[in-house]
Amino acid sequence: MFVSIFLMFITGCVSSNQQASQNQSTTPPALSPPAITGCNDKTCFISAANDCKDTSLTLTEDFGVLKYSSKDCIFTKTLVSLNANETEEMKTLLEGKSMTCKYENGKFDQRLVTSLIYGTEYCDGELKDALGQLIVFA
Amino acid sequence: MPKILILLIFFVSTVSAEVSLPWTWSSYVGTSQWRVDVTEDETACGGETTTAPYTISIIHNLTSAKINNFVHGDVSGVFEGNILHIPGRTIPDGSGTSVLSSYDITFSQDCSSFAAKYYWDYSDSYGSCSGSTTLRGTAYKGCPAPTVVPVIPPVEPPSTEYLRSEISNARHDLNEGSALRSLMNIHQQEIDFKRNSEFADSVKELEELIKDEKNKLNQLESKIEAEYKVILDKDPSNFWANWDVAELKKQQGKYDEYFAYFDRAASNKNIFENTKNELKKKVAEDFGFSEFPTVDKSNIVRTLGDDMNRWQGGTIYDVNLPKEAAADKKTWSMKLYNILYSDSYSIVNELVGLPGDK
Repeated sequence: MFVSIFLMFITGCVSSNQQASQNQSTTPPALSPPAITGCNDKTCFISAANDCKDTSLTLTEDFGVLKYSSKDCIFTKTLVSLNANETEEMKTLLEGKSMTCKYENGKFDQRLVTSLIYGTEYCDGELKDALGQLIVFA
Repeated sequence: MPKILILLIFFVSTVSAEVSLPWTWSSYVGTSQWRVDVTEDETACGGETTTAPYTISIIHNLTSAKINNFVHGDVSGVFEGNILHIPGRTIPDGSGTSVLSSYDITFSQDCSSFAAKYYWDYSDSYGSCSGSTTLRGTAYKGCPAPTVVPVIPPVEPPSTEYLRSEISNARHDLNEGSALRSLMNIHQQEIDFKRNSEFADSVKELEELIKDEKNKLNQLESKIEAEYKVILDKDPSNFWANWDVAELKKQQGKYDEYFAYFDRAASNKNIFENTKNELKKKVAEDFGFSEFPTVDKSNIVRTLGDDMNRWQGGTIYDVNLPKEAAADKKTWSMKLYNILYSDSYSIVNELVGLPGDK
């Protein structure tokens, strides 16, 4: 019961802060589990990720939708979906694929969210491998 | 018609004439005598490093040469200038076998000495170990009298095909090193997993195992580097050797050296450009693309291209690469392919093959 109340309290905080701020919402109570930051733009995400905060950002790019998340100094980039004009083979290859990258607190490489490929040399995952192979067509 | 015949006869007689060539072993027919100090390093086999003197004869027949009954049996090789190339081979050795690496015997210009080193891997039913044999020869006299030889027709320009066996041997060791490194990584992950678990007792054992693997890897990588050095001393821009050493340096985390060797491999424009074309076909086939995706038809490919083209300098693997590093787009895209795609090394090897492959 205490847990439910606690969760409701946190949820309440998150929603009210989201309304209050365009870019950075939330800040949990001091004695809560790891801080959760929901961001609406790259600047906010980079700042939160750099502090190893638990954060995420979903953005629509020219080619489709990307989701960035970061937790405990581990960054994850997921290609959620591609635009309708991409071929089915390309969608099968890329949609839902991710790469993860470990980094040190204060040393987040912002190119991970400003570029598809740069900054990913220390990352691992199917998305990295697939993009690496597609480079030969670019 | 008679004039043509006369001309032909004149031409043939000119070609058949015998002339003296500048001295090199590859233009000599005869026998040379040598005193050789043979140093066997068997320390990794529980033995010692020992040196013993031998007296040998080398039977020369222009570019081919044979040394009878020498240390690990008869050997034959091919001269190129003052270097005798000896191919690698496997020989019976005691109760097991030894795999001997290919090597070069380099003779001094005045024919007074030679030096060589080769590596061997011994194995039998009890185990295996590796070592090396170093040769230092001293001639009884200087260069033999030059041999008068007929002029031979022009031959094809020098190729890198003669390095095939050396590259193949070195690559075999490189792959063995990669496998050992992967095993070490797996053991390290196992340690990380077990350290704070109920299996923590087995961590020490794993740490010892990794220590042993690391020692083996260090020894193997010294050998690999020596093997590639021999090749690169002969052919500094050799694609295969530079490509392989780049991979070794990448695995070792020596990224500045990785880029330097990669760029030297990339200086072989023909190989690199052909490889990129072959890669496109392979990637399209592997992904089941009915046609090549292009920047016009695919937004994701266009974004990748835009990304690639907007390099303004910065770091990759913590190495600062200037804007100019991306000036040659084909090389830059191959570099990014090699950095991003974890199987790129083996895929390129599969496509390029070895020197002499069609």
